[in-house]
Amino acid sequence: MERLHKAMDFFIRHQTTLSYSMVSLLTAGSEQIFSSVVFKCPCNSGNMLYGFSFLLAPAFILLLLGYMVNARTWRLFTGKCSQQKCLQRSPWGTCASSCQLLVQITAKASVAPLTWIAVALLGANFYECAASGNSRIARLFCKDNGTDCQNQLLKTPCDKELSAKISGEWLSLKAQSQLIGWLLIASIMTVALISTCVSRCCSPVSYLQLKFWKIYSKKEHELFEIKAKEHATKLAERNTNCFFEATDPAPFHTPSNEDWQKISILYTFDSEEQYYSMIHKYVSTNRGNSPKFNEEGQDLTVLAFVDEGQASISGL
Amino acid sequence: MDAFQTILKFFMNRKTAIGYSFMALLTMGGERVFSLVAFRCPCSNENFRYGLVFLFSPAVVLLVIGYFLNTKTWKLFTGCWVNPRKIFPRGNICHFFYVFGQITLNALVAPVMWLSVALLNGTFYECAMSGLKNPAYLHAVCHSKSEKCFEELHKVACDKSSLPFSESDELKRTLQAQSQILGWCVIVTSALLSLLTTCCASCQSKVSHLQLMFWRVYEGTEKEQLEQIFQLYATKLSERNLKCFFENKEPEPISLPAFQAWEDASQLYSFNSSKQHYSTIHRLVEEGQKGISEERETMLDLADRREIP
Repeated sequence: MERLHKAMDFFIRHQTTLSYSMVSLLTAGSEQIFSSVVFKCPCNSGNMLYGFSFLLAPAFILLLLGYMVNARTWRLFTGKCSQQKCLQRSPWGTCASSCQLLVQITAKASVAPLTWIAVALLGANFYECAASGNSRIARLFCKDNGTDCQNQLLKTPCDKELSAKISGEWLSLKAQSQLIGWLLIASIMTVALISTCVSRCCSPVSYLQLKFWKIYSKKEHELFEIKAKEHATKLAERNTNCFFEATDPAPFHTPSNEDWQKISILYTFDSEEQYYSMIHKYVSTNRGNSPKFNEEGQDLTVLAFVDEGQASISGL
Repeated sequence: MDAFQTILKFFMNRKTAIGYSFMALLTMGGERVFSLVAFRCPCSNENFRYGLVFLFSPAVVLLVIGYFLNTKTWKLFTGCWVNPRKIFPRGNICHFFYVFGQITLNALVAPVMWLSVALLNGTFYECAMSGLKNPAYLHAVCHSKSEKCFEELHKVACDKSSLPFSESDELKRTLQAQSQILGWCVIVTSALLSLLTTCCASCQSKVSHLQLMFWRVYEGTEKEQLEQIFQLYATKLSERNLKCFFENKEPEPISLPAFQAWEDASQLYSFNSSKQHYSTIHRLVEEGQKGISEERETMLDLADRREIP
């Protein structure tokens, strides 16, 4: 039992890493299934369209799914078009911070599509089919530009001996595919490392405070869920009882629409006032009525975790 | 026990994603079973009709089931014959089509999944298109093949044609490739459309993000409370009635909501940003049982957990 508890604690603490690994494994697994069961290169002039659609369409779909699942997307979009007044900022500032957020959301959503493309390139089936229909590759392989040679190239994915004959001194299509795959993986890793270093470097908070802040955000989201459920249960009980007994309802205080709007704003950090979330700021500035509430924060590069913990309550 | 609670909570929090994945797996399994067990391409001039029937009828059946299973459908239609005002309140025809459109979008998920899986597999499309007698299409498919291709294309799916193996194999591959590319197009288009509509709907929402979350929680709890209170009152009332019947006594009064109260409570709810109400019952209880006089502004789609103005 103790060991099970320890294992559970480990899984919960490293939830993010584990969920990314699961997504990557699932993507790799389904790519294998696709390429062995579903994929059949037609070996004619439609090769390029077929190969690229298998390579790129699933990646696009995974990207869209990544956007849908990320709680920050909905935090960014909900209510944007119908807000009559912009509670804080200049239009330029809003545009810049929205763009920054969109870049962060896209980076997170790109994990699955890039895994798909990398694994598909390493598997080499899709690229081989697509490249065999590409005229540039045909010109490289067939120096004399003969249509006979080009037609033979179209048939190479279906016929193994033919591919060895044609490639000559160039790398075969499968080898090219795997090379591109490895280059892609290496470059993604490098870009990820550099961007994490840069964002940590530009972080306005120190390491320990950042750690505390992450834990605070998580706890606040958990408690929000619990308190929301309690509050909703009390309100629902009062309403259903009054409906059945045809009595007048006892007064029950629930936060107003404006209060909800105030705490739903995306949070910006301010190093003078140390607020750890919008709710913290709201309750410390006299329920949002003091002028301090509307002061702009400085930047939000590192603060991805502040809005993210609500994935669990967003219900998707 | 604690560990199991945590695991259960983890899965309950992602129940939409798990529900959709389960539906996708079920569709894939069902399609495999159909294509292996039930589907036998006739390899004659009836190919086109046979293939299309197998491709589209399960989709229609899934659409109808989707309508059946959505509670909003029944909320919209129950009692509409007796009181047409329910569907067209104050002559507002748009309201009915708006709600019906929402229900249809929800119900379209399963048929689109079926279509994409069936097209990616390729069997049904291959059979159907090999029987299509359109001259332009036949020219496109058979353009560099022998003369026999034009007459014997419909036999290619069963390997019964007199064409050489390499040609018939290539024809099969071409048809399958067309089917799979079409399948990817269907999936990409529907994914893009659903993301765009959800973004637009979210954008125009008059409710902020956190309040929307609270609203979902409230809807869930109110549903549970209603179930409980229905059980409680039903038990009380039936106990009283049967006791009085068997013991020949006078019944004590039990207060239940009036007919009009039930009617008012059964209406579909729409959010009004100037009031602070989270459901029809909440509004009824706070404002008394007047008619619905406010303009409809926003509606919470219970099945899909998204709010659409």
